[in-house]
Amino acid sequence: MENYILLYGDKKPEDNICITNMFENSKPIHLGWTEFDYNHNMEIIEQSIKNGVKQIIFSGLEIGWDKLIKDIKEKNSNIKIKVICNTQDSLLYYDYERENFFKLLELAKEKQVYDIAFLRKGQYDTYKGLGYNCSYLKENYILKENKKVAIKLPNGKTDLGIYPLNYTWDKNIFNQLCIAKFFENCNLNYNRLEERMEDFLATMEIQSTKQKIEKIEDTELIQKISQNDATIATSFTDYMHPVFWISMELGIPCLVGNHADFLEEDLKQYVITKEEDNPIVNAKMVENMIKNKEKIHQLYKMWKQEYNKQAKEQLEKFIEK
Amino acid sequence: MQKIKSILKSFIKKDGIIYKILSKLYHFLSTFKYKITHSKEAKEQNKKYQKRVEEAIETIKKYKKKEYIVFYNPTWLGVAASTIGLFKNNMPLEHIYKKNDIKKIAKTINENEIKSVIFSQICDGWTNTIEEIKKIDPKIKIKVIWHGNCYEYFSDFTWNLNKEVMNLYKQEKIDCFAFVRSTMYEFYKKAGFKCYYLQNNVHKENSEKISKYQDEKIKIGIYNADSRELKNIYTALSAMKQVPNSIADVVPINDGAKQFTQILDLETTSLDDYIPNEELMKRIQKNNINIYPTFTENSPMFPIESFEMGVPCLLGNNNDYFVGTKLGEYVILEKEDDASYIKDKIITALENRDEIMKLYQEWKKDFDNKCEKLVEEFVKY
Repeated sequence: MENYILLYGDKKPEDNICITNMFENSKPIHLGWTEFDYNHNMEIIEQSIKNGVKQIIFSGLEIGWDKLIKDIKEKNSNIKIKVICNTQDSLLYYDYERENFFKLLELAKEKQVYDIAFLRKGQYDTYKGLGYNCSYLKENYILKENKKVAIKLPNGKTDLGIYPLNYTWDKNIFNQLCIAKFFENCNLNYNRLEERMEDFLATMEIQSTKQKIEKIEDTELIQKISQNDATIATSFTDYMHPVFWISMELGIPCLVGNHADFLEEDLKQYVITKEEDNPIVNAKMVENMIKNKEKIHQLYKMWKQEYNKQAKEQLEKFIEK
Repeated sequence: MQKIKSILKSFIKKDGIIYKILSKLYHFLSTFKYKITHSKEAKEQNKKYQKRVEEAIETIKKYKKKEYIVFYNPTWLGVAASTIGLFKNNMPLEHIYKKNDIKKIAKTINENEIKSVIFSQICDGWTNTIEEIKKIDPKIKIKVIWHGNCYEYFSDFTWNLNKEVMNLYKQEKIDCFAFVRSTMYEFYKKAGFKCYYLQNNVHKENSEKISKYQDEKIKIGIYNADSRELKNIYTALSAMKQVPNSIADVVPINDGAKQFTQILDLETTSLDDYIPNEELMKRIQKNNINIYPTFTENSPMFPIESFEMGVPCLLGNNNDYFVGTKLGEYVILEKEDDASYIKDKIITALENRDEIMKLYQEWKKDFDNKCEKLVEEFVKY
């Protein structure tokens, strides 16, 4: 378990919240194809190999990393390279995602990449079926003791939190903002990514407080999320779910889209919406979550204990493979 | 140019005044450049729009003293099909750029004593037409059918248009809205707007039924899905691959999706380009099933068209069709981004194909009645 290093970039900082929490040994590297980026990254890799690292795990295959992988294998054929896929099929629409994913499959075919880990069962099934050497990992996040904060106590007014970390189509931002319209005496705390969000809330007369997540890391998110009675993260599709994890770990229920396939039935019925673009259904679910806040927290804690074990076992299996 | 844009974007704050000035200047210069380089095409297009206005004026005269007329853009295929499927006094009209044309249309409506004018979505120049109609006679009712949902406000065009339309409502130049999805209707009602609920419908009773699917291979179709990310074509292809003995019919297919089918080793019978709807309706009859696993919709036409042609179609749970019915249990997808789940639903639907089609026939009778009543209520206001 100690002879590996996880390398990650800053293309998807929200995913790094989970991935760096899951792996003990990790380091950021540059995204890019310039000589400067290559040399910077290679220096980190070579230093790690000198320190006894036997396998290098990349979080995603980003621009310029395919050359890194090929050169590592050329210089050190005994080093195992593994890649954690950080895109799902629905995002292959984008040239960047698709081209890098296809490159990853090519590298796996050429045996330059030893194993691809998927965090979505559907993807794992597809590529396993196609004969790729792949693993299924359980996405996870554990709130460390020293990061715990006091959460908002009930005060007769409902605070809802919406913290999309990217202004992209898949975040389904405007349908999420609509949810607050169906609450009385409610304030919406939101991560204002675009002026349009503010404009929309004003047009629809939804009471809200704009906030700004300056640094996409867990510390700031913990502070912001803790001020709410419930959070909402009903994106259409997501690979990792940092807002959901942080919120649930704090004891604040979070409504999430139907792509968090790690949850079990008793908890699912409260926190997973099957209709991401339906603010009416989702407002009712949020209301129900707030009513059952304590029950949900207890169910979550019970489930999470076992889930942490399973996630750890799978992670160890992946590293030891 | 793109590089300069990205560099500037990384240095200038997006909400700042400098960004706004530069963005307006960029927009102005791009429009200017476009006008110079495309002057010939623009002339041709303007001729086409002009002809459309003249035709519209003649058609309005035929509808003299009618309760209502409905404007729709015939080149927006989905909206056009939905409008034709719902209303009687339909008027094809495209963008209107000349003030004189706007005035002529408004004047003709007034002279022919049309009581209310329905705009099925809004094209360029239509908001000015609304203002002109109200200026001539404030008693003429103006109704706007908004075919989108709030997701679409992510697009600059839709958001700006929505703001314009909302302002016209506040100025009492638009009397009411209609939405084709119950969630939009409820949301806007809650936000204080006068609104109605409609559902799109398809009538294909008289369409030619040319062929039946073969049993040798399971042919699964996905159509018009390459143009937007929310159409979710890659997950659909992964799902098809997991269905044993499957063959995918993808029209149109782009280079990325084509390459993906090769990686998946998925057999296809695809076409590179769009085909006319009539041809598509013939083509889909050869399929065992069609899938439409989009992330968000309002009242999509294709799933109903598919059923009408005798082919079951799986669709996302992002519209009001089949909700709470046995048919819905078979064909509504609740996890649109999960290929394995979609695969399971395809297999179950194929095993129950005959029952699904029977359930659809029953559902459609009630749906036709419901649609008619909704239109009646909307038109009556």
